[in-house]
Amino acid sequence: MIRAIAIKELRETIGLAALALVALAYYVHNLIDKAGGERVPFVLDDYFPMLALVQWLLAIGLGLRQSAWERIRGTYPFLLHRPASPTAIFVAKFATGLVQVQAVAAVPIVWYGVWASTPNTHPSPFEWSMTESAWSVWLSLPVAYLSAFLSGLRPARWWGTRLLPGVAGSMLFLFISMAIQSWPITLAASLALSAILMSLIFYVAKTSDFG
Amino acid sequence: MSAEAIPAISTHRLTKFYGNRRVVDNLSLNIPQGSIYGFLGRNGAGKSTTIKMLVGMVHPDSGSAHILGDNCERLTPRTRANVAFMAEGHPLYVGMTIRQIINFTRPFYDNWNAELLEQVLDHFGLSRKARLGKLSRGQQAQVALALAIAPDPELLILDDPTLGLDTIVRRDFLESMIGIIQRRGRTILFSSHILGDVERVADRIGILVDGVLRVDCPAETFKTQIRKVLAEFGRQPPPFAGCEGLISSRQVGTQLELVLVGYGREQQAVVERLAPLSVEVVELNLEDAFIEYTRGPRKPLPQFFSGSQTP
Repeated sequence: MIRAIAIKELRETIGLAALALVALAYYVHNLIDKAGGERVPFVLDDYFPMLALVQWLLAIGLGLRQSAWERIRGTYPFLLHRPASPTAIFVAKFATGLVQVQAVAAVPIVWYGVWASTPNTHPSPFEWSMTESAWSVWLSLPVAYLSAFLSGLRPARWWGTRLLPGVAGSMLFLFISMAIQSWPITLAASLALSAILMSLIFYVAKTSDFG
Repeated sequence: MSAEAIPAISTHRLTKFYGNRRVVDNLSLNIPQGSIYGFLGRNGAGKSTTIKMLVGMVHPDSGSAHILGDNCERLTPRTRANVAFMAEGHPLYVGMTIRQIINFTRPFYDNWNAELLEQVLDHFGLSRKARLGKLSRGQQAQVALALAIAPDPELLILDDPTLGLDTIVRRDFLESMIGIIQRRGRTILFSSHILGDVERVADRIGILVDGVLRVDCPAETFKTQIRKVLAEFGRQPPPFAGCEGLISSRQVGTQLELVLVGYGREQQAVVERLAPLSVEVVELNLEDAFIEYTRGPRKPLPQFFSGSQTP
């Protein structure tokens, strides 16, 4: 049952995730190509903000795609009438999305990091601790994803008010990924905000009309 | 209460507002198990909203609803497995093929009848490789029906299953639908605004007018009770003050046209007091009866209830 939902979600979102992966890979490839001179991987190069932007766009895009699309196409009644608890259905949906976001977003960090840690690839020093900022963005992505999912799920009179949770979530994403300088605090903040967003998703799923 | 004694569907003073508009108004309904119930009403009468409340997709503002004894606001997976629901327009995942949507749906059910499903798809001549988005609306409805009956449900709730289908496809679909899903003890609730469909299929009807259940009785009772009376005067008809059971009265040339619930002695006497030249009493089919009953300016209508129903 959970597997069936996960396969359906993957089938519907794999294109978007693949597109983001291609964009990220292209950008990392360019970073590697331009290596040298005074550039220092993850610290003094063009890693930010482009890669973070694509990762954020992926999180927002997948969140909205998985929740709002069902409402737009009118398929929520078909999905929610399956004999399973609505909580299980929504958990299966956003777990699939989260795994995709985190997996795709990890690829450029790992790739670029592995390349940077390989001797004789660039003239600057490298330590894995230099990737901390990149991982902070990665750790914060669930906040952006879940807030977008909530935006697409909750009823609203128009798109402006519908997008409010997504906008608020994105601002929080920016804050905890960029302003906090310690990854354990970023992780704690991300977990706490994600828990709040999941509770809100369950509440909206339970109290909203789907028809 | 024994399993048979529990109504398949029951609602008590079910009410729903959209903004300030009361779209379903104190709906109390009992549909016994084994019935084929035609749920009628003009567009916007509240049929779809009622059905969505029955399957827990829309929350009522007040009142309660139960299907197979289970509260509609908290339907258990076990009850859902016993209730097939086809939403209005039968929306499915158009990116999937028929095989893929079967593979998606099947794991949710313990008693999935794959053989029946294959037979139904073969009956409709549907290739399992066909993408749902490429099918016609009629074919999508056929797929939705096949998926609905595969778990062998006790209760089928179909919201306007023939919506958007042309006349021939609609008739074929309905005949197939009844042939496939009608078995002893199975209850079917289906909404429609096409009266011919209902007349062929339903043994009982309910009519919603502006969210209020005005009729809940066997289709035959409703049909035989409504009469159109044409009183010819050969001149301008005199004003008609009304009588018991009057649904509408209008002047057509030199005729006074009355639509009444029941045309007994009392009504006959009232009409004869106007001294018409002739009086013709016309029997109506279900469609005409429905149109006469629901059209025109809104006003309190005579109500039809029979059996265990409570208005």
